[in-house]
Amino acid sequence: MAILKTQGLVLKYTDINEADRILTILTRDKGKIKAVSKGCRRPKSSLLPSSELFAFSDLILYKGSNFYHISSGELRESFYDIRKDLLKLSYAVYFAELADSVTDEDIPSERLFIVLSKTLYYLSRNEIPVGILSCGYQIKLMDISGFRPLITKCVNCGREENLSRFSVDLGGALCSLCLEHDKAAIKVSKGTLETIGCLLSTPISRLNTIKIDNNIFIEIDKIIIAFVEKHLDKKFKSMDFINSIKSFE
Amino acid sequence: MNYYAAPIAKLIEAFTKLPGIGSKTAQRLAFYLLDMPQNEAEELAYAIINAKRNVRYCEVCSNITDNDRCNICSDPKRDNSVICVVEDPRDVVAMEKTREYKGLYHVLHGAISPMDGIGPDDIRIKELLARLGDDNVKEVILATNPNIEGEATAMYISKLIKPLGIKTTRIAHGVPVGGDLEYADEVTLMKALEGRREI
Repeated sequence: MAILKTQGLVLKYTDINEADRILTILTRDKGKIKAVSKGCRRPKSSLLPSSELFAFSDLILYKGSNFYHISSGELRESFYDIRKDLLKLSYAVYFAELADSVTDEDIPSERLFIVLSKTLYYLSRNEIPVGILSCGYQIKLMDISGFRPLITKCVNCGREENLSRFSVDLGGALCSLCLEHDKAAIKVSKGTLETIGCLLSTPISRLNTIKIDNNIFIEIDKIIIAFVEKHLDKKFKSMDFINSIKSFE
Repeated sequence: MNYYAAPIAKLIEAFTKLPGIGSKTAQRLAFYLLDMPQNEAEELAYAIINAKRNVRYCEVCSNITDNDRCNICSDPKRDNSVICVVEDPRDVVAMEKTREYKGLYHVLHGAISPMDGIGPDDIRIKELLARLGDDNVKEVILATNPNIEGEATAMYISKLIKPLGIKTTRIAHGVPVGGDLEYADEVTLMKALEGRREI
């Protein structure tokens, strides 16, 4: 029986039977896995803390025929404060949904594991504005997934001057001579492109050092969400939920 | 190819729609029913139809009932200055089993869940706020589940209620009776310490 000892972060779960759950876990060593947590919904279960959404735990698992099974779990971080704010919780669910959609089972991605863990850690504290953290996470996730946007030169001709648009379809900046290659490209300022570059290169823990003008932030937020949806070819229901919560509040 | 006569096949299909029932279990249940005495099978069918026809939501607390108002809301002995907010009608039963609580309830019929796209408008929060317009209510106890959705729902409701000047409390979290401290996580222990009482 193959035993797996690793750290994992619960991305989502489905309740099954009387007290069990199937967890989708992003692990440090094995990438995304599906694991059964037997009896975890019982109040006295030792697996209960490790089987909650976003639980970051040291896990011991063994491989069954279809799923892994959790043998033991020791909670390291529950990111408890995320649940105190509905908007933060909605963003956390969005981050997890994104990570789930860019990973395949049993393919390790330690970088994504670290980026997501750090993002949730800073989301649970109030040190970085949620919007900036969200943009930083999304752009880094796209980078890790192989969709790093080209922002220092024209994505069509490679020219470094007169970059005036961002092409979501082509995946980067367009210079004024190449506008006909994507007529739907979004007009952007130099500052916007520089800020996207900054979000890409700045570690999650230092995102609070980036100061973004509100107009530029709105532009970047729109670009990044469109970029993510286009290249992952998916509409994220948690993003719809975030928009509905924002309008509700 | 149909292995069974049409009425049996339909019965099996109907059973497979129930939660946790696969095709094998559905077959077993269907054949058990066929072996049942006629009157018992009719009683079962009648019980299902009767429950489906007559059970509705209480107009006050949204608990399930067969009258306009549930037994708890229509009981004059209950303390109508306290409302305990729960997610599910089964939670009302769980609370009632304690025999400690004498106030009224409000059933939300779910919890806010971004994962499942359930927002504040999809559960009965508006109905709760409408009840609080009545000056009688002095305290609202938030007894949603202590999981991530339940906590978010409790936090959200408390933010809506606080400006109304009504005392809003959350049920205590901590180590379960008969539990083991060694297996409790830090958050549970922290909550247990926060809610400690003098003995």
